[in-house]
Amino acid sequence: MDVPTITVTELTRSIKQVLEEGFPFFSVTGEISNFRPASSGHWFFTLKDEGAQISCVIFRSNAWKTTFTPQDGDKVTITGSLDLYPPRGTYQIICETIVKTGFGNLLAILEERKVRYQQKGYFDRKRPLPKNPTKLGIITSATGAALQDVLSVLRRRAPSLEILLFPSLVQGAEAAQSIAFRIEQANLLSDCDVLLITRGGGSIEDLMPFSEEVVLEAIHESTIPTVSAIGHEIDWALSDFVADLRAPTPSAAAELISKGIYDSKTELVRLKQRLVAAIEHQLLRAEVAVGKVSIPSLKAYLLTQVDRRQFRLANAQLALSGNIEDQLTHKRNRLTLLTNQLNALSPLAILERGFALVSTEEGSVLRSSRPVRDGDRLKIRWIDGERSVRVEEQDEL
Amino acid sequence: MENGRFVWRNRMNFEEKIAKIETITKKLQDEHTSLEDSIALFEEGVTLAKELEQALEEAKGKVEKVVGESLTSMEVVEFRDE
Repeated sequence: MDVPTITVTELTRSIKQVLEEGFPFFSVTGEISNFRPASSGHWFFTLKDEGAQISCVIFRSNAWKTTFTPQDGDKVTITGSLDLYPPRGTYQIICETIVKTGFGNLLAILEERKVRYQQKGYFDRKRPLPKNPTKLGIITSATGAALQDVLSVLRRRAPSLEILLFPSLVQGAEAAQSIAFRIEQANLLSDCDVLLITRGGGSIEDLMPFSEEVVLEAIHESTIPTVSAIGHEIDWALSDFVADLRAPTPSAAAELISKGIYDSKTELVRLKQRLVAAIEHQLLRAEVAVGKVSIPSLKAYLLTQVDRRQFRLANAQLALSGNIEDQLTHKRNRLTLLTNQLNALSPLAILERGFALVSTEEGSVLRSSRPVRDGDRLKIRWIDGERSVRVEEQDEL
Repeated sequence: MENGRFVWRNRMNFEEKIAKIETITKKLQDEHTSLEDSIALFEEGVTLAKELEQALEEAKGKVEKVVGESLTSMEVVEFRDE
């Protein structure tokens, strides 16, 4: 046997070449054990099955792209290439990607279903939400964080909105049936004018019930407009596409649902401001008109009629509470002043048109000719002055 | 659905009241409206605004929960969180 003798380094170099060129890129499935994330950001672990095991590493640049943190016992599929480390004479897999086994399948199922339901037209119906809903039906877990998030937003933004909870399972094998049942129940009860289907964040498996066909059918069947808010911003479920509105999170859903009520509050403030501005304008006109009157006795007469109405107006002002109260307070004094002269306007307007006011000598206004007798002394008031007159004869009417 | 109809009517009232305030404001802005009428209109508008404000702000605090697993017999109870 004439075999050339080579060094360890030479031999290792040859093996490295054979190994690395022989297994340039592959996909392998197995179970994770001895998972060790290093402070450098690289992940080390062993991939094994019943018969063998192999060392693996995921460098930091690929680790951060992974959507989950692996744990011992996880069944995973990795892609990568083989690497031999000469100083130790060991080989390992340099992983490019790592996914939970079945995860890829799940995504394929979702993608197929998404296309199918899209083609059925289930994604096309987008009804508007009611602007001022009275009662919101929430389909979620009674103990989940999602419900708490929704309730706290609604208490702040729309305290008048009534809420009816339809407690349902939100993960696990029976969750889809439970969600679909509650949607159907809410429609039968017909008490809510908008439905929210929601849950907090989770893995794609956790969110899977919201993509099940029975749920998609129930949402599509719903005569009540629906909002779907599944998980965090990056999460999604097929329910998001079928619902009338998709919200990125449970809290965001609560904000969208209460938007109309919230806007109504703003609108109401604006309406009240316009109302006040309008009456103020009327008062200003009155002020100008009253200012033209120069007869003290007529002014006095008119002003006596004002008190009761002034009281009414002040009362009405008081009833205007809320955001414009401050604004009102500083206007109130001027308003009261104006109101004193306000009601003068309508009798004044009549006098200005050429009519005159007839009263007894004592000053009480005569609304009829009947109490007037021959020889009575009366007062006639015009817009610009008054005269005393005596009745000479009473015409027969 | 008696209940459903009730809800619907309430909602119409809300929109109607908003519209009514708009109408009142328009009349108030009209220079031909007498002052006596203006005051009455203003009072009416304020009353409506007050009602709407109450409807919006009133914390009914009503959170209820459906109990039971039957479609046909359904019970609703008050929901107490924590």
